[in-house]
Amino acid sequence: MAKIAKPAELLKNTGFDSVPQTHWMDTPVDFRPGTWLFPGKAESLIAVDLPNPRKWSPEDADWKLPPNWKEIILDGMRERLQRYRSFRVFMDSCVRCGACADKCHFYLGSGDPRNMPVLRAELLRSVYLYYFTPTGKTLGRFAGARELTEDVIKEWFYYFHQCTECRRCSVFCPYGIDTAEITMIGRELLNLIGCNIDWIVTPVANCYMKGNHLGIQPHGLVDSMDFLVENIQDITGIKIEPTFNRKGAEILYVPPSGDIFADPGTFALMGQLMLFHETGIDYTLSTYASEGGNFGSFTSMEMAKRLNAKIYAEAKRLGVKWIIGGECGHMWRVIHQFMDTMNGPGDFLETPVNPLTGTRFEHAKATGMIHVTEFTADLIHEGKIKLDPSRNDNVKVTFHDSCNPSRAMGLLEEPRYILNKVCNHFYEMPEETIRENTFCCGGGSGLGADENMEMRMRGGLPRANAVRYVHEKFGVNMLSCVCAIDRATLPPLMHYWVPKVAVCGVHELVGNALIMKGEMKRKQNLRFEDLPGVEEDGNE
Amino acid sequence: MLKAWYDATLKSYFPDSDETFRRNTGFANPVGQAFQESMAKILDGLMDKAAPSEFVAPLDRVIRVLAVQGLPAGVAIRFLFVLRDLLEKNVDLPASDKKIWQRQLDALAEQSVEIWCECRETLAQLRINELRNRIQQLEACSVAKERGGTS
Repeated sequence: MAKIAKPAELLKNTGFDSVPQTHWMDTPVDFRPGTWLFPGKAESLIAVDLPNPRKWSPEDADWKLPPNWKEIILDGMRERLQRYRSFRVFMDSCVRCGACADKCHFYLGSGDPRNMPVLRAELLRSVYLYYFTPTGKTLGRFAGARELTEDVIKEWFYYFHQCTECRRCSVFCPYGIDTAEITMIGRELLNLIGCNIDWIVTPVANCYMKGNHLGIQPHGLVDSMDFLVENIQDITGIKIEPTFNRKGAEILYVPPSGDIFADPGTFALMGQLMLFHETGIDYTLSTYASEGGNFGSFTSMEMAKRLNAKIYAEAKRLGVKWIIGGECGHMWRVIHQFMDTMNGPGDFLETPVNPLTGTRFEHAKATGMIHVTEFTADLIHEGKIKLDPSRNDNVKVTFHDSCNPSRAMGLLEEPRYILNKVCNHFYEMPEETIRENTFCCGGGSGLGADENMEMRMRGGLPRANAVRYVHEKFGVNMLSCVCAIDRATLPPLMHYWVPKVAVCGVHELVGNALIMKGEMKRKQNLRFEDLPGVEEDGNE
Repeated sequence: MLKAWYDATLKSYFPDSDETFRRNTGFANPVGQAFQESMAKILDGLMDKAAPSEFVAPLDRVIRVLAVQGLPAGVAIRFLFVLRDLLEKNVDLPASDKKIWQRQLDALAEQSVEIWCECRETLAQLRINELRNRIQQLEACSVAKERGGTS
């Protein structure tokens, strides 16, 4: 065994080493089915005044760009370089140290170097260097600069829709470059020439026209909520009566609309409704601001502002004192980092105070808005609700830190505190995969469509790999989270990588454990499954 | 032997990426972790003349990754042929023993194709499930609209 062949020799003539060996600037994008997303429908673009509505496909040679597309993009870049100091700093300050390179879940799952955050940023930076810096203009490719061509636009479209704006890479950047913001600018520029994806543009149009991503009209929304209320009554015997658009309520509650219509989010929403009923807080929902999520933030800052504005407008109209936001992910990036300056100040609101505990949420003074897990953790901490965690004994739970609540608002402890109180079997995934180091679900920022399922599975591999570990080691069978997109994207991810693990919202487990005043003997959990230890006796 | 096999398999990735997969360890490197742990089990199994069932889990873990990385089945299983070449060229054993390995590797290749197909079917099924969910949501919404009246 003295002489073992070298890898290259072993691979000779196997065909296994078929990846392009050319420089990334010379390697055209391969629009392989399963890896790219359908373009935005023309009618959705028209609904929100986005430019260049048309029928097209990324597989076509001709993308039907406007004749002056190049001018539009370069003017757009110039404008944003002037408007956002952060953009210019991010373009100039990267030293290509590579600290971010191996932190992206898409890179780790695919091995495609253009998914390294540094190189994804370079897709844009190379054009910036060529047109906006003397070195780039003079030295061209030698300085990492390149001309803007249609192929570059195609590359941007492909790779800026392989970034979930999760910001894991930014945690590791010694210069604090937020690569998610580079993606956001990249997508803004693409939107200027009508190169966007339907999974983002249609929810944006729906939200703008109807108040939520699914485009449900107010009466439909109320009716769907009634359905959940009926389910709660069947399970607990208690009739809950949430109100809509009620003026004078103390609190406006804004959930992500996905939780109203799609399992397992519906179970999490039921848990929240039960908790609000049990605590007797004075809250109302809104049919106008019926969406906490903000797909506008995946389109442009202007669109994020347009959609986010509904929350404050409705809070003002109804005269509420403060706002509770539901278990949503990117909603919290917009609220925590942009809302105050985007649509604020929210000085017509009061600093949120929990009416049961008196806890004053000083950190939310600027926005007047807290996350529902902050509210629930406070209730539990102050002993204001009764819980029976044994009702969740059928599940061994782990917690996926959703990217935006964890990295954009630092919501790390509250969900864990709640989980430890509402269930008896909670296990953490490995340290390097949770909290601010959390791995993305692979389908955030509008990438949770079905046509790119293969890409989603690549991007979700690092998260799934950590789930696999706790599943095999501790028997974990439930992956909890506080994000509606996670609740939509993690079930298929688990189906592929760790099939015996289900997905839930934190408040589904709260709802199961919550002992409500006057409730009938609980026999089923919020999924209508028998509670542990309860035998079916046919007694309806 | 394991290192040579592992290194050769990683060489099938883009330049630099193979280096990343080789360098990083644990959960920061799910592809590398899956390959390294599974290939060790496969090699040990071959040495110990393990039963075919012993190979299912490690093979599944590797093929499941390759099946979503754009490789056709015929190419995805070639990491096993790399091992066969390695064993043939570098292990000094009686021909009869080598034949046993070859037969085992052929069986593993067949198993791998089956796993690859199952993975791709799962992907297709996931797409169907998503579409079905979406239709059900739309139906629920349209029922809700009807019950709630028209605007």
